[in-house]
Amino acid sequence: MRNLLVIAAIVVGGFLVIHVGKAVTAKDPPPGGHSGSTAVSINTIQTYRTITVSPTTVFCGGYARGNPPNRSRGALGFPNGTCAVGNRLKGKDPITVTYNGVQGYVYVHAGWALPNGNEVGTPWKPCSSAGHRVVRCTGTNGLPGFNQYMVRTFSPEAQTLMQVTGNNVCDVNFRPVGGCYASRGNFQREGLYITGPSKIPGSDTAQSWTAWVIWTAEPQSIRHHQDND
Amino acid sequence: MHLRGLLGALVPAVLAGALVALPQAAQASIGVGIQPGPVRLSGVAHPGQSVALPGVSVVNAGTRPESIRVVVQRDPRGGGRAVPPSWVQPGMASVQLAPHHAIRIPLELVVPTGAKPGAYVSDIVAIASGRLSVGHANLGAAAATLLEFRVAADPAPGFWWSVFTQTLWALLIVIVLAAVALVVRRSGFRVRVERDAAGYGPADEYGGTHA
Repeated sequence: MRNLLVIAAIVVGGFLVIHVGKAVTAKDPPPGGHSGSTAVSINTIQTYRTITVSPTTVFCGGYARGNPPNRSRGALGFPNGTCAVGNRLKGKDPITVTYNGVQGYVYVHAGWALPNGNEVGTPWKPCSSAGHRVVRCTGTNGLPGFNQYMVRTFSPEAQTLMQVTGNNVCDVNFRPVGGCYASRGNFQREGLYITGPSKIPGSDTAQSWTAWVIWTAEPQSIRHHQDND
Repeated sequence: MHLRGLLGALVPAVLAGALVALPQAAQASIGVGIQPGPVRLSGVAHPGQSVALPGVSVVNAGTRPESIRVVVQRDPRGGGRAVPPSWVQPGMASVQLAPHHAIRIPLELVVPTGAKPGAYVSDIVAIASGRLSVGHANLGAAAATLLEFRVAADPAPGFWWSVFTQTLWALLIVIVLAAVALVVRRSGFRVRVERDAAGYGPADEYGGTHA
């Protein structure tokens, strides 16, 4: 019996030595002798790549289009009613987009417009009058079709409106010359035009919708990174 | 007279309040930041392997508390294979951050067994889910950094090695136990178990009485 216990102890002991011994590391001994030290506080420039968006107005106004009786000055009409955040002709660009940190790019895309709260409605998908078939507006004359809507952005420096879809693309309004390249502290004022769908399902009862426009701080391309490494 | 006095006292107070409140409303912003350096896996990943990616640091760059989540999105400029979003699992679904506070979010890469070999590139995007209403449009902010790694053609070497070593250990233990049993039997070692006849105490022996 004693022999059996000894053999079992040897087997278990060997197993433990091999497996547990790997995880055991000794700490470095503390430095000997006396020493003095002083703390130096150093501030560095911002290293994060950040983007901030700050509107200075809170209304999508200037409602237009739509056909009577589906037309109103206080709400989006049908078909293809429009509203504006800012006024391009009057130089009102209420949204400020600010880039900070190491250089990169500013991209922009739109999300689905969803009914607010518990209201019932089919989401509207962002579309473009040009571009890929998947995101193209299906209404007449390149306008949004059934359950589609269009977002166009503008800035004081850009000559043309930019159509924003669900695809994240370079925001040419941010820096019309040089694409959407951005470096530390660059900012741009922008505004929006929103055009609603040609029609919505008869079962939709929502009267309040939320559209999304999202600006993204993008890194430089993979090639730039490899060049810098 | 009293009304005029009341108005005279209230109007400056209201104007002062408005002057204090207006700049705060004007300065309100939604913002997010992310580390500039790419999230890059040193070495290669193998099909069927789960590995810890370096964590990604995000910051709330806005002026109010934000819930920030991290997702994987296709790199809009392309380059390499796009990373399927389900392959990268953040350590936390979303994180609530006070203004100008940062956190490092751990990431795990889970490569399925059928993954195609090659270089994978996508964006890790931190999205501020808060919203600033602009009538019928809500504005959002997001910041991206690159995610890069390579997938090898063959399964992880460690996988087969661990199977091999575990099998070897099991085999070794079986051999040792068999050897022990053999030695015990050959040595003539016997364990004899004896059972004494159980008694019921003096009361039974001597025919005592029970209550």
